[in-house]
Amino acid sequence: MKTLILLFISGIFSLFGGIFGLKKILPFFASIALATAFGYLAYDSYYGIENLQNMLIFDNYSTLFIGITIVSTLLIVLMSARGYSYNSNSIGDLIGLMFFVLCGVVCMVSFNNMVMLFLGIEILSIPLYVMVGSHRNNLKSNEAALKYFIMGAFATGFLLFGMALIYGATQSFNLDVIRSFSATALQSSPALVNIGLLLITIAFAFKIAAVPFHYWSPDVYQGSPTLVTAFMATVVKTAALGAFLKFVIYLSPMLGSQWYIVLGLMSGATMIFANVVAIKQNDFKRMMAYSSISHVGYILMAFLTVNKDTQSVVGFYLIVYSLATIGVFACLLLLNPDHNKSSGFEIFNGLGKRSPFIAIILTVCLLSLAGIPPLPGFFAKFSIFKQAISEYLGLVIVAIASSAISIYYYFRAITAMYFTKYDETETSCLKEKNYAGYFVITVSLVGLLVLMIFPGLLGL
Amino acid sequence: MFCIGVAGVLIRRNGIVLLMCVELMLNAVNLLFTAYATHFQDSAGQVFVFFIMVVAAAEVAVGLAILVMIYRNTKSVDISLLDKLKH
Repeated sequence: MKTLILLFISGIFSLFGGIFGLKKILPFFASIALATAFGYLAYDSYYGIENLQNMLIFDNYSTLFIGITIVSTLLIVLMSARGYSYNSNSIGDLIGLMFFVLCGVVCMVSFNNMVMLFLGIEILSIPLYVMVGSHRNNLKSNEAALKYFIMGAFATGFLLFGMALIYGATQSFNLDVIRSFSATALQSSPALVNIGLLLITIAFAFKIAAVPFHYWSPDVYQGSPTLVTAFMATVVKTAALGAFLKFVIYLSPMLGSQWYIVLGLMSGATMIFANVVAIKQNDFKRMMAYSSISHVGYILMAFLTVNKDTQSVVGFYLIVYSLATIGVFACLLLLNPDHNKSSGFEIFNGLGKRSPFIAIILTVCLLSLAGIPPLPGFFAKFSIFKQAISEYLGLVIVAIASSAISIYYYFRAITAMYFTKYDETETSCLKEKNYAGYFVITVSLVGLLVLMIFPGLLGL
Repeated sequence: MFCIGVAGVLIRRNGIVLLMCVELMLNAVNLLFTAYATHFQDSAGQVFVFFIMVVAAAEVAVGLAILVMIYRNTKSVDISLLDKLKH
């Protein structure tokens, strides 16, 4: 609760700070505020479960997901210290909106009532529409914002309709009541419950960008500013998956076998489709979009066999995924801080010679995303596969095959770095030192290496 | 009403009409909630309707702002012009 209040006040302060010319210190203020919020989160969770009128419940589960998002945001804010100079007038707005998104995340992953789930998703989405469109004069950014807005509003409609049907069957928004009611509700009005659950699942699939509801995601990732893309690929994805998982864990007695078939098909289709399409992409940000869609496919596999370990398996996967993704986008931002180049693969040409340090970090992050054995991405995938293998052997085989495909497109960037000559006539933006950016990529490298050596460090 | 809204979003190509269709979907949900709330004699459903109305208003405000921004750049609200991102 204290975390939520602190985040909200920091958001308002950042908005006003942006107006009153405190832009220089805002990223540092935001970092301190986020670190304090994280401290409060740890402090609160140490003193047990906090229950607010059965609307929000702050327990281990919500602490895990809020913690991941706060740390990711902290790293992204540090990236922004130099990275958002393209349109530095709006840095205050951008940081303020990030805080409001985090408020939405807190509501989403700790909900115990459908009302809070809906409000959380909206508090998360509405600032994001603005962030995606924050390059006002760039038509690509406009287009991405409109696409994201229409898709988001459309998904909200589905979510609400599903909630209305479940309310009609169970007479309550409270998850505990719905769960205890589920047997009677399923007997008296099975159609209402099943259609309602299906509609809510579709809405979540839109939010986490699972095939066949993924088509907005590559456009939006490509069109939005790199910083916002990084934010969406990590924080928003973590929050949406966290909320979806909580929903599945709570309502698992209501979910029939046909629901698991739908989810399994969705997971398989997501992995195959995203990995195959990613091969053909020539834009690096679009490729990262498809890569993040494919990771959603792997994570959805863990949703099929919900038990007491699922939370820690998914949490570990999301931590590893977020660290690697932030590392990749921070490198991209270092190479192209003003968004003045295209984000094709040629941006990495000869990076191994120009800046061996960035090249090594980018290589490690990409290999971890691909799941190459010594890196933590492998352990994360392995623990998900291990859980699913007894019941869904076919799906695990599909997953292993598609992650083999994914190695190809991650290696395109790596070969560009080490085996392609760099065109010397282009001006390099690596000359000026961006210490915050280097700090972020170092943190993600160290984080990945620590998780590689001590996978059990986080107590998950 | 919900179906009209869904069909509208999928078919129409005018940004303003799209927004109206999304509103139509949300209003269909509002109607359903009030109907259930009256049926159950339960005020929670009606309170939720107020939340939906507030959120829908905020959402439309952002949506119209995005459309204005696009209109300034393209002088049109026709979303079929927006194909600059590779498919």
